[in-house]
Amino acid sequence: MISSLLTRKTFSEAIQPLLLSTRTRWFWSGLIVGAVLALGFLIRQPAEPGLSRVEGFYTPNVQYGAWYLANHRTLFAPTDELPVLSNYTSGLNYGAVDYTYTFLTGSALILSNITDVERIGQVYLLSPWQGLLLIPLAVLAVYGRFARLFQTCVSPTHVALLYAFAALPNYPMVMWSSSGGFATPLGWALFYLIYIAVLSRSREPRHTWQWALLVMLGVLLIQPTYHTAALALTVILIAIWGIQRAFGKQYISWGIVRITILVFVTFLMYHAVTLFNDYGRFFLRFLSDIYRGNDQERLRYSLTGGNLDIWWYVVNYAAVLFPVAWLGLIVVRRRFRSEQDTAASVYQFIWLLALLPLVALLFAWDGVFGAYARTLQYGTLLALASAALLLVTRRGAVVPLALAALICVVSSVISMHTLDASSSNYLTTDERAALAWLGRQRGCDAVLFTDYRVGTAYGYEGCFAVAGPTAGPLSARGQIGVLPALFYDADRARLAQAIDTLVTTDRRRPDLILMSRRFLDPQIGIVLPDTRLKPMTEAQWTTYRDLPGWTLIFENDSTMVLARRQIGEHQ
Amino acid sequence: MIARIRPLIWPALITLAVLLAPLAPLPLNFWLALSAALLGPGLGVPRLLFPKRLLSLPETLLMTCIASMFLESAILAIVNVSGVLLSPIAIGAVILAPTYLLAIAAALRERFYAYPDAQVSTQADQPAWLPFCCGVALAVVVAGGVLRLLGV
Repeated sequence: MISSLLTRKTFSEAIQPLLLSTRTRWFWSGLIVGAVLALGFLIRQPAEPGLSRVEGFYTPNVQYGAWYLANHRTLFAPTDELPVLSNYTSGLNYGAVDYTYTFLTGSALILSNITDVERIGQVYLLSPWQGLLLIPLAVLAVYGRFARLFQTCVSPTHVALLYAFAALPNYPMVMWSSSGGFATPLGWALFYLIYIAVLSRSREPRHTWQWALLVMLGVLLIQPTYHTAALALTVILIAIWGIQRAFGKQYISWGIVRITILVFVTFLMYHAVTLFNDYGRFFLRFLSDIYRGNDQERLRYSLTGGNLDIWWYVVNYAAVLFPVAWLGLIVVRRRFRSEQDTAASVYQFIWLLALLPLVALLFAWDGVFGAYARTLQYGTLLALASAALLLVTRRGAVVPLALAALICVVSSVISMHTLDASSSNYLTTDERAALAWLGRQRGCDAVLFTDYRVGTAYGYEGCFAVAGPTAGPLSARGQIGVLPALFYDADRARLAQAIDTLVTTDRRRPDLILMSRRFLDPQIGIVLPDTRLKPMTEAQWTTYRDLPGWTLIFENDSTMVLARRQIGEHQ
Repeated sequence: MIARIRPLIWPALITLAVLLAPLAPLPLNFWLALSAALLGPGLGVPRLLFPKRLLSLPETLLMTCIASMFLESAILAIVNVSGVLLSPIAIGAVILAPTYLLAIAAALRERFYAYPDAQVSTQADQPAWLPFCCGVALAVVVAGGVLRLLGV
């Protein structure tokens, strides 16, 4: 009896249908999604020992606002309440721009009674809902919209595949998420909401005001959250406008396009006024920013610090380039046969076209790094939407896409685990201890010189008097020679002189220096507000240690703090 | 009976999450609070704006999340500017008040106004989300357990 249960016939008649029934296939799909989700949790955890849960660098955008709200029960001031003594602390004010993240996470922290900064960092790492839940949700919504547009069934295989694709770029994007924090994934999800709203007009014109309302809501949410995404959407909507005119077809209400563009432009003007120096940079410093490339060669520092090899770029771009190439083939080779084909493909094509001026703008803004980052961000969105369209329109696309997804997920997991890039912005426990000691022992009046990654985190001690170099302005003023003196030349006299050129906005020179062995780490190096330098030299570390006019006042395994010797004080 | 109380289930779950958040261990406490903030205030928005069964589950969830984020950020910003400290009670009220109001508004809209094209534009295929979610939960628990056992 038992052996008869195991026959091939019994299996094909009784067990196979059970395993492949509609409901069971959705269960298998859920298993795959859950496994990929669990991998995402793994990648979010820094593998390196000795790291705290606190991030520096752009961290104020990510953790500081929510931490402040949780601890003070009120949002820190959007204007002028935090002392901006240098552009090392202006980031703390800039963090207030991300109201959505700050209010949402801060209120959740208050409700759950979490106020300690280390624990806040811990829940941030344990709650990857933005990248691993919100974005896949948005991609599945786009897929559902395509499925309805082409009147095909939603398939559990497609759902699992799209989840893997949507989560995949979010693994490497952890590095960007660390700097962009909540804003980037939310910006992406809103992109898709607007994309769905746009597509809906081609299929369901009856719910115009409802979709228009959602678009407006998305616009209002995206502006204070992620204004570069707002810039991108402006470019894309203007492109839709232009292409609709060129095609002589109306797939989206002119009202929606015009109102949305008007709102975007209004908000961009608001940002241009409030952040005039930033926006002015685009016009005033365009040439000097490009010229910085020569400085980088001469001074041996690079945008990435050389911590990312070709493998990392291949993995990142694979997810973008393949679907974009496929889309190119559609545009070049395929004749549009139906209205649905035209609507969907035209919007994908518009997205591709809109990417070009956007990347050009960001190149002017941030140089090669800006172009690279934005190509990755918006290209990923395009790639995900393209994969959804491909699955809906091409029956044979599942197998090659599944294979591609598998290869990409595995290679992403390996690359992120081996490179450990996600941990590069975190402070070590030694650095945290040094900052805490400084806050306790020296108060907040003394001006501290350190790098941007460590300096921004001084805000957690309530101290904002931090000064340090910024490559762009130094380059523009022809003072770029300060950087080698500070980090590479191992010349005591020049180093002491270079430190004295660093001043706060109220013209105070540094009284304290915090140096970390992390500055010598090839994966980390020195982080400035606008770039990442190559690692400091061992000789320079020794030079700091014996710097004339400065006394070593604190030291642990990997960090030292020096104080300026007062007049009459002996070594 | 179940159909009658169904509209109440989600607001009740949101209320439970808000109440349990301070009592649960880390990181469950944060997840409960975040889930309430993400799903609560905008819960009624998709049902209020669109006919029943028009939207797929991902679309509904996406709209709910985005509407919740918008409503909560906007209300908390107004409360913050008015000088009220954001205590757990104030935040609980900010989450629960729109949750109930919009749920009631959605129920009233469905009772008194039916979209004429509700049946025509129904989603072509209804995925089996329940077994799907069971699969996700099972895989997260098993894979998470394996990774933990491996010491990763």
